[in-house]
Amino acid sequence: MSEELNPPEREFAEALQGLQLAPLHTSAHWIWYQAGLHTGRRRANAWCAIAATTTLAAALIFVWGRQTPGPVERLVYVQQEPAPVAVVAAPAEPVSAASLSAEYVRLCNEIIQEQLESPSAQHFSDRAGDYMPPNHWPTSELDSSLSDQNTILRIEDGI
Amino acid sequence: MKRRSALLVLCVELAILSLPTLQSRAAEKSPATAPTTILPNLDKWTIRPALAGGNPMQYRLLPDAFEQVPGNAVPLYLMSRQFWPDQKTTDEILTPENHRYDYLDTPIDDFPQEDAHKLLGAYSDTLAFVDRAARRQNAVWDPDERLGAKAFDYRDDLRHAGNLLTFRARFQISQGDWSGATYTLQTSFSMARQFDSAPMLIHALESSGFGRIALEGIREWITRGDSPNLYWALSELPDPFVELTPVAQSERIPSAQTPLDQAIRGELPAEMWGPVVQEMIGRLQEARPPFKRNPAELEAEAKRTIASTYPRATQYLLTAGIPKEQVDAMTPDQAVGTYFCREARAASDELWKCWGLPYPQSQEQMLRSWKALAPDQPPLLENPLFQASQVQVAFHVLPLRPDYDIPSLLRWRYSLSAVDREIALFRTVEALRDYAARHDGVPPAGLDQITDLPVPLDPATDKPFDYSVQGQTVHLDALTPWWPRNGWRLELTFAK
Repeated sequence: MSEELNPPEREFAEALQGLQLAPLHTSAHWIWYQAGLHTGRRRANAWCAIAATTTLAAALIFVWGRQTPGPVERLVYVQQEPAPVAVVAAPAEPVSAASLSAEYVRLCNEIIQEQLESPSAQHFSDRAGDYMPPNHWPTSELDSSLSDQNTILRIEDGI
Repeated sequence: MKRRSALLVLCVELAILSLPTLQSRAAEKSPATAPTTILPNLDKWTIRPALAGGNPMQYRLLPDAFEQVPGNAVPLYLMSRQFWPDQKTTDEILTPENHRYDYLDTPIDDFPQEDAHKLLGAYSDTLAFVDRAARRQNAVWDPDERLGAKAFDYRDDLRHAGNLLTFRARFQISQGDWSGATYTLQTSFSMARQFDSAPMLIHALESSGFGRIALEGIREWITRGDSPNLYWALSELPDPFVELTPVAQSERIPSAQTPLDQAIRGELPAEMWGPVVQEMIGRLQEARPPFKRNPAELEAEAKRTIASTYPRATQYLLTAGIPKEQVDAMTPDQAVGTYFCREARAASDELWKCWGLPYPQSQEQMLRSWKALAPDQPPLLENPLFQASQVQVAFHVLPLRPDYDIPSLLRWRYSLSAVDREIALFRTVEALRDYAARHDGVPPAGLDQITDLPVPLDPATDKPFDYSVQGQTVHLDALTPWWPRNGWRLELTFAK
């Protein structure tokens, strides 16, 4: 370092000193996006990755086997991995408090319809425990295909 | 070739997708059409005379106190589900031979015995837990209402248990195992009663349903050739089978903490009235086709309703005695919401007051009140809270429309009494069997000829059941007063 630099070297050194870090063009969102994207790609191409890794590993072993490297001293700074963030599963979203009573009344009315409308009250529809309400009564917002049900009604009613 | 197939599939899909639309349009165009009168299926039984004597309490249908042990039945009922077989086994044993037989529908004499044993073996642990539960002294249900309808999922598990019990009872009866069948029937009826221990409408309704499932076993019993007479055992069942008072106490005024429930109770703070009218309208939307909320329209609809109702609301509140300065201080949301709540509660109370009367009187009084309330006319027609809670859609008339003929409350009331009606009907059949046993196997010309036993009246009409006789065959009818599609029509043929 104490050696005198010749002009071109000095010029080069000054140029190096004048270098600045390029501004970061990435955002945290972009990094997460890329991470997700790559993860997805890795998953999608798992077999490719496995094949490539196997090939690379074989090549490295082959090359490493032929080399007789001398001892190298290195100071390696390892960034300590941050402690994993404890992810607390968000509690299942409770049913909207406002709709609870409405849901309860709907349930009661379903039972009554089942008892009153069923051609036979001889047994509950239990579906071996997986209870399904009678399929020809619109029972909830899920049953929006009323026209289908109307068709069934028509047949039953002889309309 | 591939393109042609794809085109064909596309056409078929389009046709399938367009079908509901076309049908709904057809339904919209068709005028409201009352269905032709459809009666319940005629149930044909062959029965034999049997005296209601001997040891009348031998076949009692509920466990005696000494047969019960202290403790809560509910954990045992809930645990019984843990022993259900896997889905594949379930399918194989409940509907053996690729659905050739069905444990619910196949007459028990046609159900292969080997399969019946297999079924009962697979569910032996489940039924053992239910048997034990039914002999506990109390049942404390604790549904977590914050979960909404899911809080009551255990109903479905117990329904399955109820069906399994009825299958076991039917099988035992078919084997002439009267004491085994009695034990099973006791479990069934006890489970039905224990389900009623929670003071909630939903529990009461299911309790009535469980009672009727248990009565399926009684039906099998009565129609079995040499079966003992169950007249006295049936007479011993609680009457009414389902308690009415706790239902009224828990359901007349909601006890939940939602803003609307608080509003109905008159406990909602002034600053929380904003979304209440909107919630009322949302409930009404859920109760009308297409049975779902329309969030896009909800807010605008609420605004319109509040604007159009505000003058009437303030007038109502002033007439109700609320000081003018207090009414003036209310926001339109609060004034209209308060009005709807008060009006709906007052109208509902006119119906609830008849709840505890014997069914025929309850029906008569409730219908009288209903007519006076005029729910199809303003102002009640324009009260979304009342309409959502008391006016159901008439599903038997197309297009679907609100049914102003009867209030929801009367449907609830009848449903709870249906089990009493069925018990009374079966007692009448047993009285007929007793009469025939005393008269050379010949049924009476009329129910009034039966003098050895009290013949029950129809709890829905307070009159004897409709009865006619032709030779060895009698007809007993019990149609639902306001819904003749539902009820019972029995044709009993007496075998000598």
